[in-house]
Amino acid sequence: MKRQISEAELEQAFERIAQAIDRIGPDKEAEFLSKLCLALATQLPSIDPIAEAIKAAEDDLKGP
Amino acid sequence: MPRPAHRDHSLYFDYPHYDFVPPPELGGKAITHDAAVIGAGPVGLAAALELARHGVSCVVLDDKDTVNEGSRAICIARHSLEIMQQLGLSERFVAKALGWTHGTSYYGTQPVYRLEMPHSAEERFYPMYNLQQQYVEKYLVDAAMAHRKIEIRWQSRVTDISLTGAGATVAVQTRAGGYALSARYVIAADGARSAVRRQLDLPLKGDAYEGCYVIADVRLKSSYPTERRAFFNSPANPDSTVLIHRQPDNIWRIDYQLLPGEPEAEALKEESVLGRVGAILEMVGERSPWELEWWSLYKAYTLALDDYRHGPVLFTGDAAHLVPIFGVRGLNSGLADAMNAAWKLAYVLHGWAPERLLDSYSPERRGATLEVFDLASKSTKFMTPPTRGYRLMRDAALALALKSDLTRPLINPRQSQPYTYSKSPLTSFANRDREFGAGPIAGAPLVNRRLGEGHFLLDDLGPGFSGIYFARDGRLPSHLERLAAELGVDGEKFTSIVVSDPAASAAYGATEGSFYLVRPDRHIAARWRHVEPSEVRSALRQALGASPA
Repeated sequence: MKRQISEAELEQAFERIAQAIDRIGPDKEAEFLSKLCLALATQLPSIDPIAEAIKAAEDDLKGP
Repeated sequence: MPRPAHRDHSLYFDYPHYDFVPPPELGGKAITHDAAVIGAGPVGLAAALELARHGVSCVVLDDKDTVNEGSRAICIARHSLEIMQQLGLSERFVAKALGWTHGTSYYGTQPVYRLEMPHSAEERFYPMYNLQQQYVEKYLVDAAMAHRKIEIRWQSRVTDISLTGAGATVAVQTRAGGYALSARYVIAADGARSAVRRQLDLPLKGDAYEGCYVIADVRLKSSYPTERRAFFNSPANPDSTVLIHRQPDNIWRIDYQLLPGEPEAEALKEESVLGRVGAILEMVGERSPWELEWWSLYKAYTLALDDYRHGPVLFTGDAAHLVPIFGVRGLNSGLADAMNAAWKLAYVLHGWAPERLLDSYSPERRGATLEVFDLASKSTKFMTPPTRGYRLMRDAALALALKSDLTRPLINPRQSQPYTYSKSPLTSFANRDREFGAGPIAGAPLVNRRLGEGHFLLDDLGPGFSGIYFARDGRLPSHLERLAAELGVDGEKFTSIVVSDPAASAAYGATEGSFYLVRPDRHIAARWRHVEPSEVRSALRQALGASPA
């Protein structure tokens, strides 16, 4: 996978998602993150980056 | 805050003793000093030495009889070394300090980010040096005490300050009694708990951050190289962060975040510190015996005064702003404050510039603070996530970085960089600046270039304003020689530097006849692809505080 977004915008994404997670609260976290992923998926040209992202996110789920 | 009785038990540093000398004011003599510097820490002493470099005498007041205890600010950035070079002290720093260029961040025990700071053979100094603050202060004190224009008054406590029409009156308490010291200007460099700031009732405004760190020094023989190591969620400090830095004299700095809910008083007990440091050293594979040297407690703040100038008082360093340690901007930005305040004050006191020049101090240096706040706030929230949202995102960024570089930029510790005064009232000819395709922009500090064996561009700067002219034959045309003679002020000549080296010219985006006008603090006032003498005159006037033509 190759990063498409600029470093500055990646930082903004980090901040905005962190703040959104804090806004919606822990009960709705999974629902919110699922919707977020699906909405982002609609912005991608094919399944390939989604499949790769799922694999990357599944790795090391229990931390290092 | 409990701290070991460090001063008499340091494993590596002999604390000097500085005597109290009764000042003439105590004998009833009335003196008005041009400048009083409050605080003989690194920022105050740099300001005093910079005033002296421009021929201004000053008196420095400090209530201590030695240097500050403990290693404190240990990372000195390249631009601070360039300041030390201007003050004539860089050789002593380089001889003792440990230069470094790299760092590694770990998630658990696995590396996830490699920090590489820009470095090349074009630079005289490494991007960063580690040196205990006692040495920094000692070197500055030695130079200041040897300078006939600087009088340090040790064991002299400032208890009050009042502003008068002609300057300030400072109430000073000593063991031989109290006296009033008058000065036309005051540089307040009396630290985070500034008495001057308190007496003038000026509040610091801003934010406090989550999390609390113990910073501990140990003596340990280790062959691990000098670089920054950061550990997130490590086995030795689960759910918290650890930083490790090497210092001279086999001293190692270990910073660790307290665990959530861990009481500060408990964490500061010697046995707690020994236990935590021991676990961290074991994790990084250090097996040699070690001893605890010094420790302290640290919390992150971004706090600043609304205005760094209050009449005749210029606030510098921690007296003006508190910044988080992550990114090493405390001492480094304080030294830049000191230089900025001091050359301007010297020029005003000599009558080389209108008093209005001092109005540029706060916009330039407070602007630098606000940029630091932005960067430091990001680093601090990464080091110590303030909420569940930040914590989840931080750990996600670290976990993804174990196997790919997608999120690695988020782990960058955003180390200290000098600030660019591009929007300063002293910076001019933005239209000329835009004609360049490369090189440092107007308002930025100069970048060094190697011009020959052991010879670098910044070596050639004069004490006052300098001009860098680019010519392949290495000669200054006669009309520019005349211009240079005209640009000097009464007591400080203008320094002309001619660069013929093609690589250096290219780095500056320069062609035959390009010209950079440089302030005494190495920042570029304006630049021209093709020198325009009348515009250079005008840019110099503006850099001295005159209104734009």
